[in-house]
Formats: sequence, C-alpha cells, structure tokens
Amino acid sequence: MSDLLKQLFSDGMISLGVWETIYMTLISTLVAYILGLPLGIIVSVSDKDGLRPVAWLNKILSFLINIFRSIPFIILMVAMLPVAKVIVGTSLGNKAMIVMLIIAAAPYIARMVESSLKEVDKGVIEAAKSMGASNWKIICKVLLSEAKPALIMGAVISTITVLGYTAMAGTIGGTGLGALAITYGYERFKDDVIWVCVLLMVIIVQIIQEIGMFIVRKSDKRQHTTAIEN
Amino acid sequence: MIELKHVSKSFPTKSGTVVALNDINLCIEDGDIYGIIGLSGAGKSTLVRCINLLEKPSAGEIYIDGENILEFDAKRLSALRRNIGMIFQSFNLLEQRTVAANIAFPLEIAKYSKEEREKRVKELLKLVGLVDKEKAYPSQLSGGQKQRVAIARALATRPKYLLCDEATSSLDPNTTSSILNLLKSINQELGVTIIVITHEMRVIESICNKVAVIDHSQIVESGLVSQVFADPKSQIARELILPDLLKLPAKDTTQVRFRLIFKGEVINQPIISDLAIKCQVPINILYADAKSIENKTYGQMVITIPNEEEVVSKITAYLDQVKVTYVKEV
Repeated sequence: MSDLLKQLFSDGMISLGVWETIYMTLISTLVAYILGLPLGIIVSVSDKDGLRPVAWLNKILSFLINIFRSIPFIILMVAMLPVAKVIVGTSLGNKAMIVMLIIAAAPYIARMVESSLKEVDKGVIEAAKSMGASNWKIICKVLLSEAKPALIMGAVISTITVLGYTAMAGTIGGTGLGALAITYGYERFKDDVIWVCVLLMVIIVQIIQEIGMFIVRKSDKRQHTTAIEN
Repeated sequence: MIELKHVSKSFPTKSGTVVALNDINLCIEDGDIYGIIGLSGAGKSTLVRCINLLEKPSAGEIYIDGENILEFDAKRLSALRRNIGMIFQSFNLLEQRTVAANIAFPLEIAKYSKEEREKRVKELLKLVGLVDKEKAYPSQLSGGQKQRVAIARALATRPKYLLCDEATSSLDPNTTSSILNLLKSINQELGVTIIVITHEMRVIESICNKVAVIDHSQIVESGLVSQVFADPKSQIARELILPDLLKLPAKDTTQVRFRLIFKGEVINQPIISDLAIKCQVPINILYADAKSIENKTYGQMVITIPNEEEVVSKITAYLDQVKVTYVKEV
C-alpha cells in the first residue's frame, strides 16, 4: 500500500469519496426520475398505439430525448456547463455536477419508463376502458401499477448508470470516488488508489443491484408462484 | 334493449380500407342470451366492441335502452360502460392485484366507498364460487378461475348487459361447461342480458336463445337458436351448424336427397319406418343427428330416394301429413 493511499484513508478522504458518490448518485437519480417519469408517461401515452395518440407531441419529445441520449456523457457534461451555471450559479463542484447528471439521466429514465409501460398488456387496458375508466385512471391504476416491477428494475439500472457518470464527472471538477481515482491515482501514478476506488465502486453497484432486485422480487406478483393448471 | 342500425366499421390500413362490419342490423332484447357466431376474421369482435364503443362505428346508429350512444359525451359514456360488463378470451386481469382487488377495480373507478367495495366484493366472490381465493393473485389461478374473477369484476357495478368476447375459447371442455352454466345462471337469476361472441357451436347450443351468424363482415342469418339450428339457410351457417353434411359423398342423378328436420312431437315417432312401409320406397339414410337446444330435442336426417317423380311426390305428401319439415338438397 502506498503512503498516499494510507494518508487518504487516515484523512477520511476515501470514506468522504464513498459518501459523495452515493449522495450525488441518489440525488441525481431521484430528481432525474421525477422529471423522467412524467416524460416517459407522456411519450408512451401519446404514441400512435398509446392511450391518447398525439403525433406531434410524441415526435418532438422523442426527438429531444434521442438528442440527449446520443451525446456521450463526457461531451454533454462539458457542453452543459453554462446551463449548470444558469441553474445553480456555478459550473464547478458537486452542485453543477448534479445538474449535469440530471440532464443526462432524465432522458435515459424517460426511455426506460416508456418501454416499461409499453409492456403492459393491451387487453388489460382494454378491460379498464370497458369499465369506464378515464385515461388518467388507466395511467395511475393500470399502467403504473402493472408496470411497477419493470419500473423498479429500470430505476435500479438508471441508478447504476448515474453512478458510472459520477465517476466521469470527476474529470471536470466533480468529487467522489471517480475524482479521487483521477486526481490521486491517475495523475500521481498510484495504481493502488485507482484499484481501491474501483473496488469500492463495484461494491456500491453490487449493493444497489441486490437491494433493487430484492424489491423487484417482492413487488412482482406474477413470478414467485407457479400457476396451477385448471 | 340494444339496437344496431346499419352499423358499419372500416379501418384504414396501408394497403387500403379494410371493412370489418358492413351494414349490421341487430336487436338484442332484455333477458336474451344472444349469440354471435362466425369464423375468425368475420368481424364479430369488432361488432361486440361497438356496443360499448371500444370501437367507434364508421357509420350507423346504436341505441341502448332507446338512447343513441354515439351522441354520448365522455361522462355519459363512462356511465354507460358501467352498465355494460365485458369479459375476454384472455381474461385481462390485473396481474399485480389480488382477486379481491381485481373485483374492486371497477368499483374504485365508479367511486364506491371502501365499505361498499368490500361488501360488494364479498357478494361477488360468493356468486362466482371463489370465496377462498380472495387474497390469491391471478398467476396462482387456473384459466377457469381467472374467468370467474373476470366475470365477478364485470358484474361488480351491477350492469344490465354483459359482453363475452370468446370467453371460453381458451378453456378446456369441462371448464367451458362450468363457465357457461355460470353465465346462464347469471342471466336467469340476476336478469343480466348477455351477448356471447364465439366461433364454437356448442357455446350457442348450450346457453343462447337467439343467434346471429356473421360472415365476411355481414350478418347472414339471425333468429331463434332453435330455428336457425333446425334449418340453417346460409352456406356459412350450414358449415358451422351441420359440418358433417358437407362431408357426405356426391350424389348422382338417379337419386334425390332430402334433409328432414324433426322437432317437437315427431321426435318420438317412427317416421322413417312408417315412411318405408306406407310409401313402399327404398330409403337410404346418409346422416342423422340429434341436439338438445333449450331442453328441446332437434333431429336432422339426410335420406336418399330414387329420383322418380311419383316416388318423390308420395314421400313429400307423407312428410307433409306427419308435419316433418324437409328440404330438398341440391
């Protein structure tokens, strides 16, 4: 173990990095979800096979989502620095990074939500319509609740993607494990710092994945029991 | 009463317009179990969806209890749909809800209070015989049980009408019978008017009192099941009702073929042997079948006799005398 790594541990830099990574990831994903969920619902509902087709709205939103999704995060980040400055008053530090993470993650989440909602059986939607349910009721009581396991799964995948983005944010002034690996490991040629950061990231990903899958299994009422034939 | 007047429906597709319904006229009276039978693609699913406006007709009028439902606004349409339950071939239950919550679903939409919902769900579980499955999820149920839940759900808001879209087509014969019996008792005990869409003859035979035969987007024949079954006029109805007749060997010109229809009293009389003895003609029986419709027996028989004018007139005179309906087959 290099002296630098020992010092980082004893100064509490490593544990601070873990905390900052988790904090940035969760805050960004949460806010991105709050934006991405309605966006995904609108895209899915306005689709030509959707509950209430609105072609122009669907086309515009779909186009915007695709633009943001097709720009690599590291480039999007740099391009969005002025936007962050307008929103949080600075283009440096975690506040600005969180804005960037949200901008990158929200369209991603919108697509996840859209595909989850599209998997809901059309017959069930038809049944709800036949009972006189309004589109709003169908969205709340049929689409979202029937797609719940898929939505949770999507949220887990999004969280892990955002976690990866936080590391990249370290290159342009973010903090957290990614920043530690770059400033102390890469720039000072201390491989062990890099490996420790990578290991901690892997552990965080595993924990998120396990917790997420546990919730999915708990919430999904379709799989954990086998059907009895007739 | 449900009345369809000149209802048409066409869908625009890339390769031109597809006509699903063409000038449909239909009258379903209160208390009926009205069967609509046709091959797949005939338009029967579109037809039933026009009744609760899941499909909007391209032309024509639909009157339910005297009101033209095509003029209804969203609010009235919603109220109308609460008065028309619907069940489906694939059950369409909410997989993430328990049986009880599935049945409560239309009650939530209709804004029933929690107490009312619970009370009604209990009644319905009892009605469909699933009291012990209250807390089960659909994935834990068999096909027949799922359809029972769907029936309970469709009846939750006490509708006057129930639409069944191929409701038994994915069930095995025994389960089909039990679901059909349930539908029949719902009709008799709760007075719910039922519209049954099917491609299976035995569904119509076992529960319907009236039937419409739909083919290539049009109704080709309709009336009392007993009449249509005894003497199907259209080609498609004959194919559906008397499929065995089509398998008979081709006839030659030395013979004449008659199809006899037995109903009522004559079913218990030795018509054929009397015919042979009294008319002194050789009779060949090609086909015979009997069916029970609404607890009455109906018989069909195809006979061949020599193609001689004298023989034919003797036989038709005798059949007229004993009041057996006959059709000369060509």
